Amino acid sequence: MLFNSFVFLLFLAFILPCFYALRGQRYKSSFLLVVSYCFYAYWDWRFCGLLAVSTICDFLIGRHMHAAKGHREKRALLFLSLLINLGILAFFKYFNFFIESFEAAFGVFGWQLDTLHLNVILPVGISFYTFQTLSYTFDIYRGRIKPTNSIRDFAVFVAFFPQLVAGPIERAANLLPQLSSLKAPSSQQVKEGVVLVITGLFLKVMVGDASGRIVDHVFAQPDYYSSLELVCALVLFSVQIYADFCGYSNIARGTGKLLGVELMQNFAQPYLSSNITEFWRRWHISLSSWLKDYLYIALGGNRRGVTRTYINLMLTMLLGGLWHGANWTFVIWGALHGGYLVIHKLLLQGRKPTLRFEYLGPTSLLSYLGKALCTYLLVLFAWLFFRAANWSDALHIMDLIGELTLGDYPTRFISITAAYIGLVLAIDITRERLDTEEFVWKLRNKALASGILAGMIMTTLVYMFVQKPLPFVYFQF
Amino acid sequence: MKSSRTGWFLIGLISVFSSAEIFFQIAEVDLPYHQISPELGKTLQPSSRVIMLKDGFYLGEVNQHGYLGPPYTPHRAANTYRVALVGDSYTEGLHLFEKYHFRTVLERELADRTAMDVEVLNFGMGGFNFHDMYIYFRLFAERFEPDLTIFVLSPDDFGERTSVVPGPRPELIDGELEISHAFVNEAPFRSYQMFQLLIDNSAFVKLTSNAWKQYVRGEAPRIVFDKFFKAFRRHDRNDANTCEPVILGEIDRAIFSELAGEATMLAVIDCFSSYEAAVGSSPFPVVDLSSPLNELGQSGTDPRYWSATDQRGHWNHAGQQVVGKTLADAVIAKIPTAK
Repeated sequence: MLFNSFVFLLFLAFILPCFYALRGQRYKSSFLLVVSYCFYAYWDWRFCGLLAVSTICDFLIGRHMHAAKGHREKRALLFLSLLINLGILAFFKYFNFFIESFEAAFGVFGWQLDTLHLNVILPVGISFYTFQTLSYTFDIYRGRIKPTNSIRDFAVFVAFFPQLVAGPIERAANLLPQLSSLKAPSSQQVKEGVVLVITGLFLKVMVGDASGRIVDHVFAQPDYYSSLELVCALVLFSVQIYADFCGYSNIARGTGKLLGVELMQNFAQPYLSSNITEFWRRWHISLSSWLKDYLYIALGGNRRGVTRTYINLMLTMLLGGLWHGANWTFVIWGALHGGYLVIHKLLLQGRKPTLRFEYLGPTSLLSYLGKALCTYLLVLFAWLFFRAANWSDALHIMDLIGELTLGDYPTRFISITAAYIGLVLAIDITRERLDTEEFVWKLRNKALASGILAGMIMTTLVYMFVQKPLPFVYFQF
Repeated sequence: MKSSRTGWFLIGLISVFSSAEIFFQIAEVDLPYHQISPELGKTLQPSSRVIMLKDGFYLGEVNQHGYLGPPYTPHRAANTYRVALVGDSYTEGLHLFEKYHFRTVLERELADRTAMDVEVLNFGMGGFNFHDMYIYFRLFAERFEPDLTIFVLSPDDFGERTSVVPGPRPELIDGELEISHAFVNEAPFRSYQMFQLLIDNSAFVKLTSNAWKQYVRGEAPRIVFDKFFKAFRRHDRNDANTCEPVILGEIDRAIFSELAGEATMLAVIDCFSSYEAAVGSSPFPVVDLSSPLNELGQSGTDPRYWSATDQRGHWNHAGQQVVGKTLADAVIAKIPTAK
């Protein structure tokens, strides 16, 4: 069920009192497991079995790996975990992509392959929970954590519904101990949880969905729009994907807090970044840190010389792009970001990158604004490939933009786009300055803060009632 | 203390609603563009911005005269052939930009094929049935001196008016067709007048009002309970492959008789056979739009499919082209100086 749906709010309204009423780890944990599987089954009950298989395999592998005496045995079990998890992912997500790519490659030489194409449904959240369970086996292999003895607790770790279908991709070291000793949330957690759910829903619905409606129409039929309209739609997509994903992550974190569980922050105002390295410390933090810890470092990181560092960086970003979807556009998107990161590293020449703006006078502000704008434009260009249906569509849209046509209502398109950008910037600058996502609750006047939150949730609910909810953009991954 | 907390709470609430209104106006989230006039009932607000994001995407405006499209003045110039389009949401066409609407296609096609200046005016209004179309034609479209009026409708549009929006109604009084404005004294219109400033201008009020309308239509269980609720599927013109028999009412027949002597044409969107069965021998030219649209569908292009929303709805770009050209073929014979 979508977070931005009434049925999810009803689901929360039902499970929270039940969770609070239950006493004891066993009952709380079992209850969470059941409701998490019900949540997943609402999408498609057929994939509950896949989730269970992935859970059981990694639980058993984790235990055997920890008990294994030799390094060879540990490594073999790690490879088994990789084979099972990536095998499942490859089959459901990439089977047809690889077949089509082979066909295209052989087609270049004039050879036609008679291949099998399968009608495979992509299980929701498979990219997320697969990476989450892989991090568990990796961390056991590296000796960072011990495996859990409770299959039930591990099953909750894999299927925990607030973050099952769209992250944040949690680490066992953070989440498992919390799920192994569930408690009722503190009053502070409840307040923060409510604020995060309300603000997350507002961001997802009022900003993400509202802007996304325009984006979907323009990108579906780009030939019917002018260059300016296409550029505005691309900018609106940058707003949509951020508001959508950040909103969703906030709802996930808020729901976690209401269950007494702290999930990691997934976004930290990424469009305020003044360089691409900073952007990747602020965007989809759970994925970028996963890729760094389990792919980039596994490939050697920066320990094997400068050239190898750049190769590792590119490979990590290419695979990170491919994680997003079975399409060459995502690989190109990953390659672009890999290229940006390599170039940034070259320009830094060993210096540490700036990770947060510090005001040192008007000149520093101007310099920061220029760099932030450049970073945004680089990210925006890459978003074109991310959003386009395929490579040729992306090129076609670039051609159409190159025609430099305005359309019939250029000022209206610009003001619509500016309104969304302005709203997102206002929210993000406030968060950055106050260093918190629950900034509304930072107001000293709690009655005023409550009124603001009430206004936000009422506006959002009315909009949700009128407009059909858009699915979360990252569900397709 | 308690009252000051309540006061601050209300300030917070109102500040959000006000900010939302400002944002909706700038970002053009569901702007109001209708009004209810004591003369015409439901009509468009002159010079208002319009944005619609449903099956398609429309961004445009109502011209200063109160209809969609180029602002042709009420007085028709010499050497100008003027066509008025009257219909429902299919004619209104708030699903794609003006330049792709069948009004534009029709105007361009006719202009290419005649020595006269051609003007096509769009008086379409979503939610109208045949009675509403007749009234809108008589009280508004006729002022613009059309040489030809095309009613674009479906057999669904015949029968009693079911819209809850206050408006004039046709009545038969001693066998004569008259237009009643009794609605101006009724409660719904009076309520509208009390809050007209907000209803006509506030996007936030429009959003809330749309939510209320959905609730009144009984759609709350479907929206709230989603998969848990299996709603009774009402007949949807867009999806239906079935054409139910139509029975013309007395008022429909009276309107037909009245329009028969005038420069009128009927364009039937779908279920042409039902229309023929109901009307029999038509008192004025009829254009069957369903056949060319079906042919387009059979050639592999669904004239109602919208890829952005992955749903079928009103005519898409390809459908609009076919409709415009089909109407042009029918209208061209009526233009005196056709090439």
